[in-house]
Amino acid sequence: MKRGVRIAASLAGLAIAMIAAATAPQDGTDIAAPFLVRGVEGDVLTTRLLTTRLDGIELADALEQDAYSSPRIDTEGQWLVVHLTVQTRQSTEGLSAARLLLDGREYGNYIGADDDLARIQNGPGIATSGTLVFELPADALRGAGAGHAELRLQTQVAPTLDDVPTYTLDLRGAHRSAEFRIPRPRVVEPLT
Amino acid sequence: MTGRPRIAAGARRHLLAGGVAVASGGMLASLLFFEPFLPGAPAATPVHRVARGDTAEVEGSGFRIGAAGFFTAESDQPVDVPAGYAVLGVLVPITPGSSASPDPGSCDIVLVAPGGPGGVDREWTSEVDPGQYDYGTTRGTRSICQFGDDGEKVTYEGVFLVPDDVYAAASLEIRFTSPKSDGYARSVYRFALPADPVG
Repeated sequence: MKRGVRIAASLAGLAIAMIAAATAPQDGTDIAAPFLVRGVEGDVLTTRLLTTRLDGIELADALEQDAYSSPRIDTEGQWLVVHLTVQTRQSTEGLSAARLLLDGREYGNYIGADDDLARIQNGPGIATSGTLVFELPADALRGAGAGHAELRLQTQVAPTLDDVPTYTLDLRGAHRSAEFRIPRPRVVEPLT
Repeated sequence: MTGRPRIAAGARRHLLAGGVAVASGGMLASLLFFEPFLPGAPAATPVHRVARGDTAEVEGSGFRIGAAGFFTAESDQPVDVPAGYAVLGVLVPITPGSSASPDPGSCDIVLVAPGGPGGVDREWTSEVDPGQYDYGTTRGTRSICQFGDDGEKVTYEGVFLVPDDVYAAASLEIRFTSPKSDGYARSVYRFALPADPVG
């Protein structure tokens, strides 16, 4: 009897160990992954550092800006323009590490524009309306999974254990134009 | 007669493992005990509170708030900001005394107020272009914190775009970094704002 109990206990322990090994995260990224706070166009999302609202999206073949050095920015692909209102909660924050996930690929926002939201330096409680732009390959919107994209407004390249405003974008319904002039960010009434 | 050799043999067999267990256990216990005393993150810089109207003496120079203005779109002297915001201007005369250090280090000025996430203070830096809000800076003031040279008195003017309900809780914080000779030691002074701002 005692021997039978010992064998059963051993088998049970082995089974627990196998389950633990099989279900353990395979690498550290899962353990420290950011918490995605999700929304769609028009939603106001609040995270630890930001309060944000997605105001709209559009596609353009070229960008224009009020800059002496490079007033026009062309691309072999196309530009996705994201209209946002952003308000920080503690101090100034940068949005130059925003990410767009589309059809299994990840794009960083274009940081060559002079007047986009990546450069805002307003303090907490100041809502600023402006744009972020993403440069996409010509074939990016032809894939089977290209109808929707995920926009992550992260303030760090690799956020860990922090919440990130994340919007689902409906790319099929996006307005298309030949040129888009990047507006200067402007202070608007507070989001909250 | 037969027991002693058996114990000795057993002890010899486990001597190394026992030694490792005692040594590592001892080290772990020591680490747990002394961990709070080990050098780690630097201790938080103490914040010196400066009462309304008082002067803080740093590296032989006096810092005080000379005047403050709080302007909204509805003020007698309005600024061009949307509803819900205000522009807060602060004048800080910096007066070198007779004992002013020739190498005083640097200073940095921000506006702080409670209310950030997790109980952390909110923090605003001075506007680079206050003219965009129709705020005219005072002639002769400087937009960066700087000690005066050769006994010269200078006046810093900070201009902060803030929510319009922030003035009562806000303070002006000047962060000093001493020169290399003093190991870049930091000190923080938090000044109470005037009770009756202009505007």
